[in-house]
Amino acid sequence: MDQIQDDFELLESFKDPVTKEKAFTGIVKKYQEKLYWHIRRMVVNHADADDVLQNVFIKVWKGLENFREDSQLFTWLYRIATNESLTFLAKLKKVNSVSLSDEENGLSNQLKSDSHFDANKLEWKLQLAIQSLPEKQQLVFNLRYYDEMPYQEMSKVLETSEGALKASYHHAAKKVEDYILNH
Amino acid sequence: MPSKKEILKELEEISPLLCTIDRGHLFSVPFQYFEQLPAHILSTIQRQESEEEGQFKFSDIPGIVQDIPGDYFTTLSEKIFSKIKEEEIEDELSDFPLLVSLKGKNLFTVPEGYFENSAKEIAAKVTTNKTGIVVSINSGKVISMKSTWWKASAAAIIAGVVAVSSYFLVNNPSSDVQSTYLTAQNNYKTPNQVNEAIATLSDDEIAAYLEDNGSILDNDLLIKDVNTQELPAIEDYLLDDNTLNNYLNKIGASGVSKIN
Repeated sequence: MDQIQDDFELLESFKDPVTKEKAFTGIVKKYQEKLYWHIRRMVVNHADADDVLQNVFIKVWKGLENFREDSQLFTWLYRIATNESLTFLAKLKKVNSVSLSDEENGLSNQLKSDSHFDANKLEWKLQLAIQSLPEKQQLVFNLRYYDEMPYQEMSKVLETSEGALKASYHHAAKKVEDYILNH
Repeated sequence: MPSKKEILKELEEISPLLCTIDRGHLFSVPFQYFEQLPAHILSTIQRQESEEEGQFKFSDIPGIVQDIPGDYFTTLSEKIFSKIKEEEIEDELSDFPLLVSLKGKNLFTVPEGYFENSAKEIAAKVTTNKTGIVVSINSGKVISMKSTWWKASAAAIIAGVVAVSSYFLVNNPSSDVQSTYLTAQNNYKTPNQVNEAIATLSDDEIAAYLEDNGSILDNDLLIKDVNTQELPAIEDYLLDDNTLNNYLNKIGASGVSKIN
């Protein structure tokens, strides 16, 4: 409830030209890390995650005046971040002409090229396993596994029914486990 | 709102293995990235907005409907006229559906790259033709002879002058200029001689002569001064190419006949 109240205050301050920038800075500070990691898990590379995150907040700045306060700011931000990430991946896919569901896709290779990468560590295997999932399952798995997002909230972000999300998460977790056990 | 325990329990039921994995961040982030990000984003937004403010937009005008392309009003009249013309053409053809169906279909082909290269080729030809034929007049003075009409005109003028002056000389033997014309008649008996004579004249001299004596070629003057009864009949010209030469010989201007 505190978070909702805080968001409400930030949104009110944003409407006032005098406090607009301060309120926006408050929103960025509050959500930047959550959104960054949500994006980073999708696009893997920091530079790309940084670009996408900045685009997200620029869109937030331009669209916040028209934001309908009947939905949560948090959900709205996640939705923008998810759409921006998917758009970025679609562009990347077009440029590289590779299938992102392929195990040996560009993002998996980026993971392996990380200076800290260790193929024997379960954490890195987990990341490779997530990258092997279809995009939508990746999103569902990340939002539930890392962000611990309720299905109700997730259904607003991904515009999918809670039942479908539960099934998707179940399938994704099983696939991830299988990948780790077989690699 | 589900607690962390509920989410963990759900995962344990699906995959106990995944519950054992550390969910901490594996990826690294540049030093002080999150501290600097809000200010960086704000400066980016301000830069973008100042760039956008510098550009005039029709949508900025109060009362103007938004999302109008920037060149909408500058190209509107052109588009309307083009549409009117299209409709006029369509109306004209409305009684001929077959022609309407064939409109715009081109059966002819052109060599590959024709239109791309034609401009260059034309430009090259124009450049070459600009030089034209250069004829030297007098010592070192050069004029450009771009077409044969100039030669033909000059020859016709000389022929006309000689013929008419000869006629005057025959009919006015006492004239002071008789000797001059007779001299000219003797000097210019061949086309080469005439051409050489033309080449000795300057542009200014030719222009001045035409200004002063152009009327000598007027039809009215010719009709008035020439005894038409002595001229060959029109049919004679049509039947025999030598009629004019014969006439000139008859009146004593035989040198001119060789010009033809």
